[in-house]
Amino acid sequence: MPDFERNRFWTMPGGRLSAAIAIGLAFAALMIVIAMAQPRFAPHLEGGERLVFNGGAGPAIEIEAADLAPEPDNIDSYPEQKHFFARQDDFIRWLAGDGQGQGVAPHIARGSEEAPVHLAVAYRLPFEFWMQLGVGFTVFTISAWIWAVRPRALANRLFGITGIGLGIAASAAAIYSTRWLALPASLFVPLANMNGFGAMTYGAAMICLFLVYPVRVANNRVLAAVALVFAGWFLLGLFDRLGAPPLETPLATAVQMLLILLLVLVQFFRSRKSPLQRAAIRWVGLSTLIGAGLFISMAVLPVVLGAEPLIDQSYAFAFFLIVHLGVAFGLRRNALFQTEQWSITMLRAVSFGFLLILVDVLLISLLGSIGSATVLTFLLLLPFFYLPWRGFMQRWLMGDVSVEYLLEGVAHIALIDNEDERCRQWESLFTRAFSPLQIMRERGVDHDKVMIVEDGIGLYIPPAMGCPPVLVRYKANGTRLFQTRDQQLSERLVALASSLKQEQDAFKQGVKSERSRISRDLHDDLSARLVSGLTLDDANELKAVLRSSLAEVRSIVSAEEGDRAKLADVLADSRAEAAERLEASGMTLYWPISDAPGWLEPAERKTLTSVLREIVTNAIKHSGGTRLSVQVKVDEGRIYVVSDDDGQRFNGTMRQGNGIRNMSARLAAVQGYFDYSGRAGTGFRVSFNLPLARRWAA
Amino acid sequence: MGGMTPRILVVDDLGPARRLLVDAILSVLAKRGESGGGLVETSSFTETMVLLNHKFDFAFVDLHLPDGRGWDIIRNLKKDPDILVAAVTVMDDRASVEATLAAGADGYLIKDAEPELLHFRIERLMAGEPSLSPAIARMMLSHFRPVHDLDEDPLTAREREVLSLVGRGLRAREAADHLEISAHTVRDHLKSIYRKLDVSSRAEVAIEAQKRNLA
Repeated sequence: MPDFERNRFWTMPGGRLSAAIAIGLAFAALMIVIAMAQPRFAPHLEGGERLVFNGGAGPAIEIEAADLAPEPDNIDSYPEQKHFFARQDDFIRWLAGDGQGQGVAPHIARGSEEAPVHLAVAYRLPFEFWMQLGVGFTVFTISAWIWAVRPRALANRLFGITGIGLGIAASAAAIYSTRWLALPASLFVPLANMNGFGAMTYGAAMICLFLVYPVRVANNRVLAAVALVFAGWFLLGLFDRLGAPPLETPLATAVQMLLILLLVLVQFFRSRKSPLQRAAIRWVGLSTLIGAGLFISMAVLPVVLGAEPLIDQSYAFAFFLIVHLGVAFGLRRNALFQTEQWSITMLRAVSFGFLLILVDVLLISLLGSIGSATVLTFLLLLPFFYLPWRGFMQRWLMGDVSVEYLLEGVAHIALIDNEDERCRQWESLFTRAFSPLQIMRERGVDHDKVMIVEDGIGLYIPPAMGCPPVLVRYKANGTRLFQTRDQQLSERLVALASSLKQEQDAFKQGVKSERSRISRDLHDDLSARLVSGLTLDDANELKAVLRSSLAEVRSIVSAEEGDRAKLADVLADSRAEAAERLEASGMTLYWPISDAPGWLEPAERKTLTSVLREIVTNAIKHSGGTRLSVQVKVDEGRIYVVSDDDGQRFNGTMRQGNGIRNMSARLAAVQGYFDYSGRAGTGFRVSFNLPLARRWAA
Repeated sequence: MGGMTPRILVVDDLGPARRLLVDAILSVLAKRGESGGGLVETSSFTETMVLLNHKFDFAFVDLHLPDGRGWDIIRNLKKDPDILVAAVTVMDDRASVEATLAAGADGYLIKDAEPELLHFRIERLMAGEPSLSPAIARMMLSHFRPVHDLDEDPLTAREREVLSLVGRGLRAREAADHLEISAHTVRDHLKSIYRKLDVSSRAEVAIEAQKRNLA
């Protein structure tokens, strides 16, 4: 199966990316080796000085400022460029042996003074080299990453090509723009051509990219034409057929950048009706405008206008890093919907780009090699570009309604009783959160999770708080896509809504069952008593009925429905009450306290309390005795109670309103047992039992 | 004490209920051979507030008044250490009565109780007998649970025994029988326990009582 394994490696994005990075690393290593092989000595050469190599045997060579030009493309004419390369070869020859080590040391001439200079070999490559190589490698890697994700998509391919182009251009420039005095023309010219080829490729590929992405505005023939035009331009430049070096790559790059800017604007306009594409062009376009705009205004335009670049080419490459990061995020969005969360990363990247420029400004001012006008220009340009950009970023990042506000909103909505109103407000909550163009009720769909749908155009909100599922579409008035962040926020809202609704329901259920208990108790207990009062003529007896009815109302109202209670505590409270009442009536209580382990559920607790109270009432009202005895025993999860009075009054028949029927019904309701017995003249006995709470809680 | 005219405050917004209470108080006073001439009736929180700087020996305060809480009146009255105050209620649950007791009332009356019980309680209150419900006794026990050091236990062993018996539902007299001491001694113990509940611990116990019973 080796073929299969190999195929699978290449078909995996990770495999492709690894291969590409390996190639990029190999290329970078090659560039480093070439750069290290060139002569490099300790004194730093600066344009303002004259360096005189005054070797003994060979001819003396005087270094001119033009010899130190970093970019041969910026030399005004072909003869001057030829002269430049010829002098480069002269220097190389002189360094290789003609003037070296023959006795007299080289001199640096400042004005009329000449000081001898010791040429020490420098092994370290300058910062500018590493920066350009780093930018080239980073850009190449980003492109390779995007390409590796979807290697068949045209946009991704074109983006991959831009990375190759810029990688080549930056790496080649890294070597020659940071050379120490000279490179042999046999190396310098190919490197300069490589730089031109890379830059040309980059620009052409970018143009093609914005012809097809995110909205296709041209067919493949136009793309081919673009490629042909710039290939021709490059070839003509290669054979010096364009009149002057600045008309080769510098002009082509300027044209390309202008075209790119134009296409970005076209894309922005064309994508106005499609949030998906608008979201893509937003980042890509913005970063391109900034990166390419800065590059043109600082590095290209001045040269085309015949002036010195405002920024060293080495640092100008950092602008392309901005462009590339932006484009990369835009392309990547199709796979991940994470663009806006990446905006922070993006911001960091841009900040990094600006940091490089700042470092440049710092270096320049420290070295004093460039006039203060440049520094001033940067200081003016930075706020000009940076401040609008930052304001834009802030609006982008901070535009949302605060989460706390929304969560509070959910809490209010959950309390709304009317379902229609509640659902209306629930939906308007998402309007506040996302400013969507459309909110639709999704009857018929029944997922229970928040989902991003239609590639981020819509967000599905599952049913919550008794409201139907909702589809929210076109975030931020159709300008943005739903992100994972939005999904997470909605999940929080839905979760809160659900739990609040559950609590609300439980509360309502509790109210309902409490209400039905009260109505049942009122009907069963109170009305029975009051009706029995109707039959009474004796005022005192009537008062007793009223009093017991009030007591009943009290016990109904205050029924401690709630937690289970300790049996021992319930018995203690009943005992104290009984003792006091009996004492007030001149009777005595015999109720030995005993161990009563276990717990009572609320209903049983209420029953036990009421029945014991009723027994005491009966003893006081009806027994005519002097003593009440209560015996309690707990066994096997039940409580057994027997009460005896020593009254003489009981005549063997029940009277209405004495509560016997009540007690019997109450105990039946909790699976208890109730019985009474008594013969005329020998007292009255009540026995009952009822179950304890099933599990004894600590 | 015969022939004295105790100053008594009765606060209740319902006329008939107040009548019932006043009659019961007057009959207890008659039994004690005292005069009812010092009895003042008020029917609202406002009306009562202006009387609070007067001195009373006893007060009977309805917990539910139309313009305020009887509870606040009781707290104000109890600034006077000599006064004995009963919370009065008609339909209220035991829980809030207990909370009131814990917060400082000396007793409580339920207006619709049997006349015998009502008289009995008024008598006990006027005799200065602290009324202690089992639930409150249990809460005091757990409130005074010795946490660190037994030496620092604010309650004596005997007081602890008394509280425990009351907490199990025994009357003061029964507890006395059980401990083979005099009922008078038990009452002294109870008074001493009450004194140990300073104002802040009373409030804590009151809050605890409310939590347990009203939650």
